[in-house]
Amino acid sequence: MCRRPLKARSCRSLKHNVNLLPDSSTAVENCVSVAYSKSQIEKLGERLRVSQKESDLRMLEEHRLSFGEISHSTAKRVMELLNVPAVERPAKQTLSIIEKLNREKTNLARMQDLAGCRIVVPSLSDQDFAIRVLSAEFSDTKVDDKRDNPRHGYRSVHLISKIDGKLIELQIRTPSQNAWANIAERTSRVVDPAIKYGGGPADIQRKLKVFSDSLHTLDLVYQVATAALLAKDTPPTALTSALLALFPQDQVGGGEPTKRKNYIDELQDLALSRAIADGDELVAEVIRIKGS
Amino acid sequence: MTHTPKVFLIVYDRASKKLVTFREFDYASRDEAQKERFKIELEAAHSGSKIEAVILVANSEEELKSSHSGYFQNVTTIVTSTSSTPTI
Repeated sequence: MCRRPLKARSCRSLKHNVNLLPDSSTAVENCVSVAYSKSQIEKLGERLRVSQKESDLRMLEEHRLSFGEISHSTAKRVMELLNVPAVERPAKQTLSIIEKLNREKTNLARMQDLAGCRIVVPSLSDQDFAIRVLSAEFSDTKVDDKRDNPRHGYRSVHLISKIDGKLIELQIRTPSQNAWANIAERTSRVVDPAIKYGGGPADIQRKLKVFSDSLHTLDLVYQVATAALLAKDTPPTALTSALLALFPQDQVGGGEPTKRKNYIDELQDLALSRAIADGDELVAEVIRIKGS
Repeated sequence: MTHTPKVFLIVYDRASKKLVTFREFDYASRDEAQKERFKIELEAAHSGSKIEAVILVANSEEELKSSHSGYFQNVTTIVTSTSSTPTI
């Protein structure tokens, strides 16, 4: 993956074709959506918490199908605007919905992640850019930024957009954040599902959080290197200076200047390896300058 | 970017900790994929099985496996494909 900064394409209005029918006993069989009232969906969520009757599961399916077209047109628009692949998940799985209803006592009608898509962008700066572009495109959007305040180690940016009355979740991750999230998910599946939500074995939780912090640090280094690249009149020492400012003496190296310098040197070497591996020669060149 | 999506049905069995189904559909067969996914979910509900069944739509299998590697790779593989940093 070449980590070129994202550029927005021209904005056009997003058109949605929502297939809403008043009622149909064969809706699920025909894969068409049925419009239920908010109250009906809230009550469905309450019932699903305690038991999963087939009639309720079919109603849930009809409700989920009503997100399909909006979910798809939104993912398509995200790709047009940002020129990155978007992987769409048109319907949250039943098991996850029921577990979430029981875990968070949330209201099914207000559940924000029944449908949506995920994109992976090259850097933290690109994440900021994507937030601006998508928030401008989808006017009724709430930003849930988990980068500086991760949830059980999970870092990402989620945009919750209300489009044609439906809540659609847009996940924006850097490669580091995406790798961590997949590692945590895989670990949850193999070891303990509670890990994903802050539970499970304490040593695994601790390791995942340390790993999340380390990957975030690498993202920050990359952001500084990219900024140095974009500032054409940046003196060769700018990257090192910026990194020293990014990692204050009292937070890194236990107060010892040499240890901090070594740490930052190591980070720069890792960032250089990553830039070379990604074929991003310009960023690699900026990082190399620090050693000259 | 040309949008020529494929539809993927992924079924994961929590009991065996294995991916039990990975099937690709053309976008035109999206409804069929959704029906298949819901049929599996209904059967799991009846039997009390902890089955995760999800439909994901992506331009290619490669893109899907990159964004959702947690379904396809073990932790070691994901870690080795990710840069690491020293501990502060």
